[in-house]
Formats: sequence, structure tokens, C-alpha cells
Amino acid sequence: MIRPKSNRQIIPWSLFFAALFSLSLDYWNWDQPVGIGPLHLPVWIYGFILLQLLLAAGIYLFSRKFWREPSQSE
Amino acid sequence: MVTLSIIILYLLVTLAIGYYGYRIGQNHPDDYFLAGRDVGPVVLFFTLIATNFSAFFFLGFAGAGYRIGYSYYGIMSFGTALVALTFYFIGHKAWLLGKAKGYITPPEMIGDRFRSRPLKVLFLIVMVIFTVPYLALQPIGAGILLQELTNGLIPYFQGAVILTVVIVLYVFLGGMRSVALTDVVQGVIMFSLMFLAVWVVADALGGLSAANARVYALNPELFSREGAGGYFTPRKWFSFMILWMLAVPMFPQMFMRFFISRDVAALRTSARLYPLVTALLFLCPVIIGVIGHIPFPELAGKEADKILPLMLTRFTPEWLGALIMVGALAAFMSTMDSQLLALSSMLTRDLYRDLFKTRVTYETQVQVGKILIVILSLLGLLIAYRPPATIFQIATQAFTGLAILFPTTIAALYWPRATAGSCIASILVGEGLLIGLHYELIPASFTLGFLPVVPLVGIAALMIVVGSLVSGKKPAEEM
Repeated sequence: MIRPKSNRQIIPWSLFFAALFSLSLDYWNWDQPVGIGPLHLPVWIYGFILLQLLLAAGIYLFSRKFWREPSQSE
Repeated sequence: MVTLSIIILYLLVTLAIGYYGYRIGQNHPDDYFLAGRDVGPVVLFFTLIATNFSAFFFLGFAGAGYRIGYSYYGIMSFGTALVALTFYFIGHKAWLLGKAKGYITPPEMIGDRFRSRPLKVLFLIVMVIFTVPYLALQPIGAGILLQELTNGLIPYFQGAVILTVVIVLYVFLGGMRSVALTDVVQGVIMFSLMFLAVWVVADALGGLSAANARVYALNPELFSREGAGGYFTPRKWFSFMILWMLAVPMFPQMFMRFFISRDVAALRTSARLYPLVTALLFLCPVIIGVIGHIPFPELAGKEADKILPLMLTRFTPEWLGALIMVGALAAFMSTMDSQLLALSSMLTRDLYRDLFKTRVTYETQVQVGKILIVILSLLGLLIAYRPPATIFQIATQAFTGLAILFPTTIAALYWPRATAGSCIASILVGEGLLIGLHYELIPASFTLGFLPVVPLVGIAALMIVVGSLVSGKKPAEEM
């Protein structure tokens, strides 16, 4: 059985990813008038692009610290 | 003629790469099914995305963009981007175990963890049942696309057959090595030509801003958060947002890619880049679907799934349309080849090998796997001959059915107290409820407004927790 290594260290990252997930459930936006942004795309689309950039950045930083070759981390 | 020449050239290049994979491979199951577990970062990244982005990505996304609007981008892009997290909490663990224990297929890993053959067989059955319809999506999509772009010169089913034959040839010869190498080429073609398609089509409509402004004037609902006709409810949105993360790693062709990584760096690189790809690439087919309302305002039902080829035919010169179509063909082929290989691997290793233990050499396993590739491709074509409902509905069923395996996988990797019995019960009850909902034996109100995946995965997880705790068995031994 392989267990997650240091749960305490991973908790802040779990919260970060959970926060990103929560932001994707942007129900407060749903009944608002649609704002139009560059390329005449709805503004909220840019919000989703930003969320994915943040997710990529989060995974990059998380993996630098916690996701290493087995000899070092497992 | 130009179209046919470009398609033939692409198929020949693909076959040549597949043949190269065959030449450098060895006649051993580890090599044939998993490319010797030696796939580096670039190839792994492309094979993961090319495998995941299928006919559904091209035709389904554009069709849904046409029907639902830009809201579909939000749900598909971020929902799929979240899959990158599973590369760590499932992929990394599966890779470590695969390397240590020599696992080739997901049922092998699950069955060995719980020391349970019934669970292994059940896991296998569910994976096969829900992957085969998804396999049929690929020739369906290819057939539609070839028919539209050649103005019926290549009829739907003939197109499906042609592509299936090419795929079978290179998968048969080179296994995972050929599949992974062709995935790189197919992935690059898919990316670049999808961007080119949006640019050319939008340009023909006066630029993206002008095209969007015209659509907004025609139907502003296509720009709303809920989607046209209030398509998404908050509960439906939540359901879709978690569906992909639960289901995508459970597709055997995706799960097996966790085993082929050469090292941690390869899998880690894929996870880092994955959300960047979804952020940019997923917008393209949705844009084409939405602005498709300008020239084709009245498409309904299955017709909407044809919006991409219709737009290419209308707005691009023949050679360019054919070139872009090659990108779509690449998406079909890169998914179907992986599905064929994954299914044949599982049936060979988890069924045939177990039935004839003493007589199955490594060479025999490879031979049986090759025969199964041919049989499975014929099965896919049989389903594609009379395609059911819309592409979107089929895909959603397959995703939900596989997502029910997610709790068992997590329990296998992370919870020593989990028992085989509780996992078997969890899968049987989850799939039973799905069948009940599909055939309306259970009222739709059972799901409380969510997609079935939410309550069903919740119930499946609860059954494992309660069943394992009640059984009072000791935690499993170290794997």
C-alpha cells in the first residue's frame, strides 16, 4: 500500500485547488447581464482561461516540491 | 481529388510512423502493450492529450457549442483541466506500482491489491462494456467528417471502414510504440490545424469580433452563463465540472498511460502542461460551433454535430479544408488506436492469460492481443453501422459508467482498510443504479437534479467506506 506522504504539507495545496474548483462554480454570475470583452467574447470566458492558468501554475509549484523521483519522495 | 490526395498522404505518413514503431519494438507484452515503460515527457504529453481528445472533441464540442453556446467552453475546459490533478494522485501511484509489480492493465492492479479475482473480472467487465461504445464514436465521427468534406464521394460507412483498417494495421504491427509515436504527429496536427480552422473560418466571416457580434445580435443566449435555453442548471454545472476528473482516468486507454511513463518527470511535465492546452485548444471548436449560427441558423439534433465539417466546406478552399480535416481525422485515430490497444491488452492479460495460465507464453500474449485488435475493431464498426442517438449522449453514458470505478481505484491506492467485497458491492450497486436510471426503472428525480454521476459515485464511495468498516477486517498488507 502506498500512502500519501506528508498530509500536513499537502493540505494548503489541497485548499488552493479546492478554491479554484469553487471559483469554477460561479453561480453568482449566472443571473447577471453578460459583459462583452475582447474579440466580442463574454467576459466570463476570460475568467475560465485565468482559472486554468492558475491551475497550471499551481500544479507546477506543487510538483516542484512534492512530486519527485521515488528514491527521494517514496 | 486534392482532398483525397491529402488524406491519402496523411494516412501513408501515419502508417510509416507506425511501421517504425514496429521496427524498434520487441515481441514482449511489456513492450507491445506499454512501449517498454520507457516513454519520455514529450511523447507522453502528446499521447495523453491525443488519446483523450477524440471525435467528441471535434464534432461533439462544435455541435454542443452550436446548441448550447459559449457556456460549453467553461464546463469542458476547466472540467478537463482538473484531470491533470489525477495524474498525480492516481497516475503517480499507479506508475510506482506498475513499475514495482509489472502491472500492464488497471484490472491487474486492482485485482492484485485486493487479492480478489472476482473484483478483477468485474473491473475488467465494466471497463470493456463502457469503452466499446466510446470506441464506436471514433469511426462514427470519421465517417461523418469524410462524407461531409468529400461531398458524399466517400460515403459515411466507407469512410469509417477506411480509417479503421489503417489504425488496425499500425496498432497490430507496433502496439503501444506505434500508437504513442503516431499520437505525437496526430497531436501536433490536431493542435495546429484546429487553430488554423478557427482563424480561417472567423476571417471569412469578417473576423472573430464581427462574427461574434453578429451571433450575439441573433441569439444573445449563446453568450449567457447558463447556455441557450437555460441548458445548465447549477446542479448540472457542478455535475459536469467533476464528471471528467472522475471518469477520464478510468478510461483504460488513459489509465494505462500512467504505466508507460519512463520516469516521474514525464508524468509531471504532462500534468503541468495539460491545463494550458485545455485553456486554449477547447475554445476553438466551440467558437466554430457558435459562429456557425451565421451561415447555418436552423440545424437541429444530430445535424448540429455536423457544424464543423459544414463550416469547413463553406468557408475554406478545398485543399485547406482537406488539410484541416486531417486534424480532425488525427483526433479520431489517436483515440481509437489507444482504445483498441487498451481493450486488447485487458482481454489478453486479464481474461485469456488467466484462463490458460500454464500455456500462455509472452509471445502468445502478443499474438492474442493482435487478434483481439482485429475483432474489437470489427465490433466498433458494427456499432458505427447504425449509430445510436447523438454523439454527446453516448459519450456521457460511457463517462458515467466508468466514473463508478473511481472510488474503488482511490480505495485501492490510499485506503488499507478497504475490502474487495465492499468494492464489488460498490461497483455492482453503482452500475445497477445507472442501468435503472437509463431504462427509467428508477425515476429521474432520484438524482435530485444532478447528473447521475454525482449520486452514483457518492453512493459507490459510501458503500466502500461503510462495507469496509463493518467487515472489521485488518488493513491490507503493504503492496
